[in-house]
Amino acid sequence: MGHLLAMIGLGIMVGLSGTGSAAGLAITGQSLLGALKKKPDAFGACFVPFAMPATQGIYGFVGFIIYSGVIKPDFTMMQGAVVLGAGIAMGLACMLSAIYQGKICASGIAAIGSGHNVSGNTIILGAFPEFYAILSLVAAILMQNLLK
Amino acid sequence: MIEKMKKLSLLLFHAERETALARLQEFGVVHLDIEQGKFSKRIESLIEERSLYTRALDILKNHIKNSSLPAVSPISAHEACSRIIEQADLIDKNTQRCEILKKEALQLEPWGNFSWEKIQKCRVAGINIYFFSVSARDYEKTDFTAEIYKNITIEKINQTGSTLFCAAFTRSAVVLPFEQTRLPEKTAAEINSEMRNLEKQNQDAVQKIISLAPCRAILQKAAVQIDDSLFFEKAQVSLSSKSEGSIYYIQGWIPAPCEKDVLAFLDAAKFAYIIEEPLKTDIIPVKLKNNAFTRLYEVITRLFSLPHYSEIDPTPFFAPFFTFFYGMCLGDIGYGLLLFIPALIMIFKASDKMRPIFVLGLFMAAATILNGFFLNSFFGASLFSSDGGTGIIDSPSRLTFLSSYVKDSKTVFPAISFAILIGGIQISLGMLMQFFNRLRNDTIFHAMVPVSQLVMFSGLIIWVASTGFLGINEFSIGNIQIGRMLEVLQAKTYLYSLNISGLDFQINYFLGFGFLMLIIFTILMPGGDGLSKAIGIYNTVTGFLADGLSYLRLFALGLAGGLLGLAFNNIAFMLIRTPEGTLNFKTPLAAATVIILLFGHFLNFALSALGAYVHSVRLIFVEFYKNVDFKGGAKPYTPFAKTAKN
Repeated sequence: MGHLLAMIGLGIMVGLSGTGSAAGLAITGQSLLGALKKKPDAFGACFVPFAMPATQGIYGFVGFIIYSGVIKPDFTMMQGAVVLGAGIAMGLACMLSAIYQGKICASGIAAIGSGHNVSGNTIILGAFPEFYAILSLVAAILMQNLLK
Repeated sequence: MIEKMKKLSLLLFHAERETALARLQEFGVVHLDIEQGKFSKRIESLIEERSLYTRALDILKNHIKNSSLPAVSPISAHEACSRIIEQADLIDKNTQRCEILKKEALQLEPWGNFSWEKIQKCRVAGINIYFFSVSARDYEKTDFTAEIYKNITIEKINQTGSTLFCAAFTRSAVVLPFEQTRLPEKTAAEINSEMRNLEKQNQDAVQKIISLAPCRAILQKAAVQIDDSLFFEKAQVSLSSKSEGSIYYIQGWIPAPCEKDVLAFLDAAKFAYIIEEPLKTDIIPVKLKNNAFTRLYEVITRLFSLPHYSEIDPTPFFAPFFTFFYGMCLGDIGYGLLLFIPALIMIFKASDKMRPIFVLGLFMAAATILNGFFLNSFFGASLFSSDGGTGIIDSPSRLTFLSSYVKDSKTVFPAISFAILIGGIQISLGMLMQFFNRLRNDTIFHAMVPVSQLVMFSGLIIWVASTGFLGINEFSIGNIQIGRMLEVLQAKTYLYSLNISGLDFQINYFLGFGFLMLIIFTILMPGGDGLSKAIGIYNTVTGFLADGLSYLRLFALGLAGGLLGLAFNNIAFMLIRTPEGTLNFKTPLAAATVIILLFGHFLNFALSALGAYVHSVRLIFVEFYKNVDFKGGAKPYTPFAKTAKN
């Protein structure tokens, strides 16, 4: 049962964070295409905000690498629950932060497309929601010590 | 550093004001206080003319990729601009017409090729023809024997999918219960012919634009001359009249080191002027003055805002941190080399304007390599062997003090402690800067508030370290046991224990006195009511934790990049690993290994480099600037000068 919980946790960890990044990138990508119609030379200024939601998927994958190396078939229920908890924490934080970061960045990209010089501001504001995905990764890494 | 400025008040006699301004613009040192909202007819016409030149240059840029074309122009800039815009307008008009024609061709397509001449003849003969489309289901349901269809002949022309295209012939005017289609009164052949003609015209227009490529240089020169004229006109409308219009006045700013030159110029030109020290209430333009290293980072300062004239320029203070943060987030020797080599090549190849960016890249690369050693990471793999496992080089290194290790069957990440401690150092520096800023601009009580915060923050770090939080008490660099030192400091400065809801707070002198100082100086600080001061204290205390923890991203991003690189290595080498555990490079799968390694590390490098930049910038602009109490918002020093070379 512990092993089963751990595997579900891994799935949630990598699945939800990847979903969040995909959704976030789709949001920024749509906005980038709209901005390029108005201002074709804005690609350089818009690229960093566009790519920002990509990192949460990587955090999920990093969590997956860390935990997949320690999961064993003889896991106790408690050990399984630790991995499941880490998975839920990372999966939800990464997914939601990527989607909402995507929305912030999309607004910034639209503004850049309309001729406003907000590239720096978009990067700063976009980094705010991502911090909670980073915190969830750090928490997941520290939770790994509970398995021992 | 911010260049010291002097205020210059100029008085110009009305008859000589244009000549005087022209001389001032030639001199090109004085920043004039230009009123941005003021316009004149001349300014409006110059803006309009400038937009035409911008458009002409953009059109040329879009059509001509080769920038090394001859710069000899057979015609004037004005003539070249008109011709380019004329041709571009023609292209736009023809393209729009082509779009309409394409839609018309699509509309006609299901109706086949028919003669409008014959339809016209039918109309003359009194036969009305209606075209309509209807779904096959509706058509089947329709009772064509009904009264309204008595004198109408309906013919099916075509069917595409479930849509029927029909024509109705009748001698009387009727309203059919179907949606009538209005067809363009021309044939498909006529449409195609017109489209070909328009495309030919567009090709000719493009050729005419390309033939004007040698005019690019004179267009650019003319555009710059318009900018200069615009600057001149804006300065002219910013003059305020005194003594019933006989005297004009304008205020300007000069960098203090240029004062002698300016005085010599003003005396020679017989200007009436006053040069004085600026007042605190003045809006003073800012000119940054930094050394060669710090100047590279001014681009990051400008990304947020130029500092206010009365503030300390944060650039020299964040530059080393930014470099180190970037290196810590990317943290890999291999990725550092990937950044270092192209940056080094580009320093010799790039233009003077772009060179500083690549020099900055070189510093970032060096920091990445250095942190790669600290984190013991070479393209995701361990370079040196450690307690946790083997490395590419089969011996341990003292440099790898940030790499993780296993202690009492638990993984310890020294990079977590290091990230918090380096964050603490940067926040403390920010508070010190805030102290000096406030000392310059406010009262001593205002200045003592950040000092209180600094004392309290130091106490907080000492106490938190002693609790073993995130393993800070274990942290050491070589033989220097920083964590233990903080623990000892906590024991030596212990003041009293505070038990809140079962949580034991071991208050030390720094924490206690810092908090006391914070309360006293906040109360003594002039201005603000009691409530806002209380909220200020609350925000300060709670802000410490959030600010400190924010630096955890340095650890997390470094770890994420390293682990992802390791994952790509594992996937790639899995393909060529033999059952005995050795690597077989002679198998054809080795090609796939190389592809996975190249693709995987390129992707990881690109995303990690992006994350490193974004989060380093954020730590500077949010955590550091917040503790500096950075105001910013200054306008840049822009001398009233001519850009165009005569």
